[in-house]
Amino acid sequence: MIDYILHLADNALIYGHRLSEWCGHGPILEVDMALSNIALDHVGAARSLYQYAAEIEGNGKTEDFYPYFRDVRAFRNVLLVEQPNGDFADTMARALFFDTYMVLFYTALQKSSDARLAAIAEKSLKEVTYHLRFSREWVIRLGDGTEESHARMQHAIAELWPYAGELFAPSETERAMQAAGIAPDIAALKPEWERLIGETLQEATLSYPLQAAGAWHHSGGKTGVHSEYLGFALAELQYLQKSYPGCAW
Amino acid sequence: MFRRPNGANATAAQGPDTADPKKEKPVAERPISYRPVAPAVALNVVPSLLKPIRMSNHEWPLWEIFIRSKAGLDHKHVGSLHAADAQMAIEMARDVYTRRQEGISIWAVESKNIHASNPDDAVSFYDPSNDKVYRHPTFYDLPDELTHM
Repeated sequence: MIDYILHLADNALIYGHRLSEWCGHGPILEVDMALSNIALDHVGAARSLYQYAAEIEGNGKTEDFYPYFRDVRAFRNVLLVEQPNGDFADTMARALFFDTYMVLFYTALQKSSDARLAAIAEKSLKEVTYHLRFSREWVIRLGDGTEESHARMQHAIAELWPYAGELFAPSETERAMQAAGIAPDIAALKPEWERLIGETLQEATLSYPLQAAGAWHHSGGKTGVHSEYLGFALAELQYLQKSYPGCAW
Repeated sequence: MFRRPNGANATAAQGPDTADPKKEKPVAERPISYRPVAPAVALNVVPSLLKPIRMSNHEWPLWEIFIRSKAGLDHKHVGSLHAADAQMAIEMARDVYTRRQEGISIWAVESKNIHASNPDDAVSFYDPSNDKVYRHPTFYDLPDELTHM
C-alpha cells in the first residue's frame, strides 16, 4: 500500500518539481504564472499523499521524509515526469501526455475502495482538468502555428512518445492494488488516452508518431530504475535537507 | 512588469503593438532571446531546431481583464495582460488574476476597443459641475409629509 501511495506521490512531486523549474523562465509572464500554478497543484497533491503514507507507516515519520530523505532508487515515479523540460514544446508534449493520463486516472481512482485516495482523486481531478485544457490548447496552438512551432511540437511529441507507454504498464504493486479494488485498471485507460491524444494531434495538424505502432516503451521508473535525470533533480530538491537535516523556517 | 490598467496608459504601454510600422527596427536589430536547452537534450535535437527563437510576445495584443467576484456583483477591472486571442486571454486571466479565489467570471476586452476620455479635457469636462449643487438631490428641502426618501 505504501509503495502504491509513494508511486502516486512521487509522480506528482517530480512532475511538479520539473514544472517549477520554469518559474522565472517562462516565455512570458502569464505562462510563467500558469506553469507555477500547475506545479503547485501537483506539489499539493504530493503532500496529501505523503501525509497519508506517513500516517500509515507511523514510526514518527512525517510527510517530509519521503521527498527529502529517500535515495533515487526508492522513488517510484514514471520516467515521463522526470524528463527535462527541454524547450516549451517539449514541456507541453510531456504535459499533454501526463495531463491526459491524469484526468483518466483520477476519474477512475475516484471509485477506489480506499476512501482517502478516492477523496484525493476527486480534489485533484478538478485541477488536472484545467491542466489538460492548458496543455492541450498550447499543443494545438504550437502545432497549428508557424512552420517552426509546428516542427518543434512534432519533434517533441516524437521524442517523448516512448515514455508514455510506462503509464499504462502496471507494476506488481499496481496489480496487487487493483486486485484489492484500491487501484484502477490502468491498462484499460490506454485506448481512451490514445483516442484523446489522437484527437488533439489531429486538431494541432500534427501526425501521430510512427513509434506508436510498436509496443516498445521505456520502463523502470515504477520499480526505482530511473533515467540519469532524476538524480540531478533530487540533488537540487534535497540539497538543503541533506546538508542541514531537520532545517526549518 | 505589471502593466498600468487604465485606458490611456494601456495604449501607451502597448509599445510595439501600436508603433508605427515604418519606425519598427529591422529584424536583425531587434533583441534576440536564446532558449535555455539542457545539454543532454540538446544532443537529441534536430540541429535546425537549435536556432534562436525571436520572442514574439510583444506582438501579442493587450487585453483588459474584468472579474466578477461574486454572483450579483458587477465585473470590475483588475488589470491587463498580453495574449494572442480572446481564449488565451481568458485562460491567462484565470492564472494571473483568479489564483486567490478572486472571481467566478472573467471578461476580456481587447484594449484597443476601449476608448478613454482625454485627461487634457478634464477642465472642461468635470470642473463645470463643481458649483452645481442643485444637481444633487440633497440640495432640495423635502416636505415633512414625505417619508422613506
